[in-house]
Amino acid sequence: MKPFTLVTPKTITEASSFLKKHGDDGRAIAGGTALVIMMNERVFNPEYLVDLRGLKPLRYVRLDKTRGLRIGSLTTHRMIEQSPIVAKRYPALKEAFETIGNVRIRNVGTIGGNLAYAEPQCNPPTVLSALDAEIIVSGLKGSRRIQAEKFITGIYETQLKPSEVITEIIVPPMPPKGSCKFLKFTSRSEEDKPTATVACFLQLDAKGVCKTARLTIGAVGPVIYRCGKSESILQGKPLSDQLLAEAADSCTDSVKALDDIYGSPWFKLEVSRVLMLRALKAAWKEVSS
Amino acid sequence: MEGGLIVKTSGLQEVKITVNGVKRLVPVKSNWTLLRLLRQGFGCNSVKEVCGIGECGTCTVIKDGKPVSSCIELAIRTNGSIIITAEGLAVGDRLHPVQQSFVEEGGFQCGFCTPGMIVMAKTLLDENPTPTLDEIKEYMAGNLCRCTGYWQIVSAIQKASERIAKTTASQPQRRNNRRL
Ligand SMILES: Cc1cc2nc3c(=O)[nH]c(=O)nc-3n(C[C@H](O)[C@H](O)[C@H](O)COP(=O)(O)OP(=O)(O)OC[C@H]3O[C@@H](n4cnc5c(N)ncnc54)[C@H](O)[C@@H]3O)c2cc1C
Ligand code: FES
Ligand code: FES
Repeated sequence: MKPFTLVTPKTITEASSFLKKHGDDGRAIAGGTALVIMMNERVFNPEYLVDLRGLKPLRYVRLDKTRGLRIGSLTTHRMIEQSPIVAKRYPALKEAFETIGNVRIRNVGTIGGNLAYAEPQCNPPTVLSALDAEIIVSGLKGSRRIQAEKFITGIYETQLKPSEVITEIIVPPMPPKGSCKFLKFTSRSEEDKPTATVACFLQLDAKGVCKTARLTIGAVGPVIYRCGKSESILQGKPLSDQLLAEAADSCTDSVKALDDIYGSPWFKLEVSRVLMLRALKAAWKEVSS
Repeated sequence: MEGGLIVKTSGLQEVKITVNGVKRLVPVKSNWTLLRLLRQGFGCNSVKEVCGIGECGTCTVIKDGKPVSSCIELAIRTNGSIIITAEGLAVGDRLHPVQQSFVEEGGFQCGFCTPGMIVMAKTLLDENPTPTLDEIKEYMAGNLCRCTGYWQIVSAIQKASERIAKTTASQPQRRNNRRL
């Protein structure tokens, strides 16, 4: 690791202006669980590290009646996993966070850091996209909201501008007769990075007809994929085992799988299909009970 | 200096840190990890580096009550922290219940993973004094051992849990003070 200078801003504006001023020479650090490894390997050699940990107000998990669940970007994975609100209203979110790496990583790594890191194998982007979450980022010209699904633009690439800091993640309220499921598959050991992550959100109307379906697949390719064709198979129809199977069969139609240590493209697509069917069945069971 | 910002220079920087009960002001370099500070600055050689990427758990230490991988913590960012390593668990000759149980159950062979396992098990029992088998496995999953096959480690933790329950039952005044 190359020596650097540590900067400890007290406000988001201070952090943004410092990041803007130093461009590529500056870099934000939250938990450091991804960045310190990359600095050790000299992938990044920032001259200035802008420590976000001092921004204490950004650590919270809160339920807002109209807007839904609000999570501060500096909230650790472990805080989300252990939040009673998350366990009760958003169990899929709990599942995604409690299966990140190991307890030590979850004690330190943050939700904002995970999203900005944008490694395809990360769990949260898949489930946040299915839940139609928004990511609030703040820069010198104020803040803007980005749909979780569109936030990641490539491997380790996001829509974030150099001076922008992620401040909050907002997950819409869980509607009645709505359910979300998250599943992942690891090919070597339980705590390994996944071959595939899938999430599905289903909402039925009073008559049991599928009102909304949002299906997402992560880890197999560079970005998060929405399964548009599967969603249109489900929407507007009463659900059945056969319809779910049909939807799962076409869920990987628009996915570009990469060949890597986590699996071959064929294997990843097959795993995604199987996981998606399981997730859909579980979600259907929950909404119809 | 930037307006309102504290810009620390990249030379040596003083950090106030409490390690195993001893509070010190130590000079660190910006690119030192907490692991390096603990080994070189405090002589805590129980803290070992294997993977250097947060996966194996041999470098586990307790930072402000929570287990962390010291190989990926920057020393410069630990100002004001309270650190406990395996060296800080025994009181004189009296081993911590987790250490005593590892000895009795044979929870190690080569011993390389043991300090990390022991501090991890201590925080597990601090957070959850009576864990189920699944809870033990889940919590300890990120600490790797190439020798034991894990079962002896699991039974050592179960035994430590019973031992701590007995001590707290016989000393009611210490019930609220499980962090021995
Ligand atoms: C052993 C191991 C196993 C892991 N397993 C998993 C897993 O199974 N699933 C999974 O999802 N993840 C996994 N991870 C990744 C882990 O979740 C990330 O390392 C973590 O979330 C990053 O958060 P951080 O706060 O430590 O970020 P940092 O390391 O501090 O930062 C990462 C990047 O994000 C930027 N950044 C941080 N915060 C912000 C912000 N608020 N605004 C703008 N930019 C910001 C930094 O500049 C940097 O580029 C694993 C990591 C390790 C080391
Ligand atoms: S050396 Fe730190 S986790 Fe392996
Ligand atoms: S006792 Fe040898 S690695 Fe665990």
